[in-house]
Amino acid sequence: MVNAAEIERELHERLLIRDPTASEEVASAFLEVVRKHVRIRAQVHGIFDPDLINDATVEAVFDYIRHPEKFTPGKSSLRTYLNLAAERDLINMVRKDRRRRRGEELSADVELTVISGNKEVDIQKIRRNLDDVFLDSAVRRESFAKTAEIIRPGKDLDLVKMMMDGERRTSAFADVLGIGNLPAPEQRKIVKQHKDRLKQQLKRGGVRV
Amino acid sequence: MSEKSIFALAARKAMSDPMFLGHDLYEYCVTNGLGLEALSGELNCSVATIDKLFLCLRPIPESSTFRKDVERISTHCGVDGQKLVEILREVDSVRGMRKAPIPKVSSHSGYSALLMAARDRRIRKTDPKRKLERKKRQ
Repeated sequence: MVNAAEIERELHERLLIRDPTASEEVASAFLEVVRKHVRIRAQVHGIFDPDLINDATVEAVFDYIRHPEKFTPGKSSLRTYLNLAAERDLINMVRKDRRRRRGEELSADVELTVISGNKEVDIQKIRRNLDDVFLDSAVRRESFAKTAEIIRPGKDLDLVKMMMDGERRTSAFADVLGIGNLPAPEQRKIVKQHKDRLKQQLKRGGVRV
Repeated sequence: MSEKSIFALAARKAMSDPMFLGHDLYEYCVTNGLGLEALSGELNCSVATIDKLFLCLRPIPESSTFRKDVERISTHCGVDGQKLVEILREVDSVRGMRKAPIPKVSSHSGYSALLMAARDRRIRKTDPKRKLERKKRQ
């Protein structure tokens, strides 16, 4: 019986010589298993977006098909290589998405200031941004282990991870808290309470700003 | 809720990546106004097979292994190899036409020659003398 390592080696060699059907066989053999791995890892980081998970998986497998020479068979199995590559792609995509969302929010703030001239709105917006920037920088500087020590595993840790990933949608937080069935204003209020509590907890835990 | 097949999603992504056969087949569909079902009809295979086909590497028409590669793909996916060759050749020639430089008509001689040809045809159609002559001959 042919074992998995032999199948991987054979596929890799065929891809190196640009066998036209090897790419399809790689996709068929690895897409589903890599997605499963990425989904589990993403959930650990509080990422639940299926599109991001799918994109990261496909991107990793396509990148391997494009540059099979990057993979060194002696170092690890092809499956491990693809799992790690997809995880790295996922992190890059989340960062990119976070930067994009921050950019949008910043431009929205500027627009609001120019158009409305509403000082109270400006102050609230800026304060909210500062809060998030504070949390972000704090969490980034501290290791994940430190955050996990301060925040209890479970919903709270999931919420902090979502905040770290730049998640802004109330609905996403509401889903984690299981209050998705409540009216939107109520959801906003409860989500804010939880976020404020967690920020305080991080501060008290000695997370440096 | 059933999860989307990642294989099918990858096949859709392959449409926009020139590395894959899906890129050429998609171009063929766009040029000829075909859907995936119509394409599968032409290739005598199922729509699921089209996903497999899309994820194969694109054989390069100029390459010496082109025929061999297409044969390998058609055997692997179970599609009409001759039709696949025809499709790939067509896509390649359409691509070549698209890349070809558009002849400049701004030069005086070329432009006026075009205009003369157009005018000449219109005069012939509407010239009453010629119409009369034609009637007499009949």
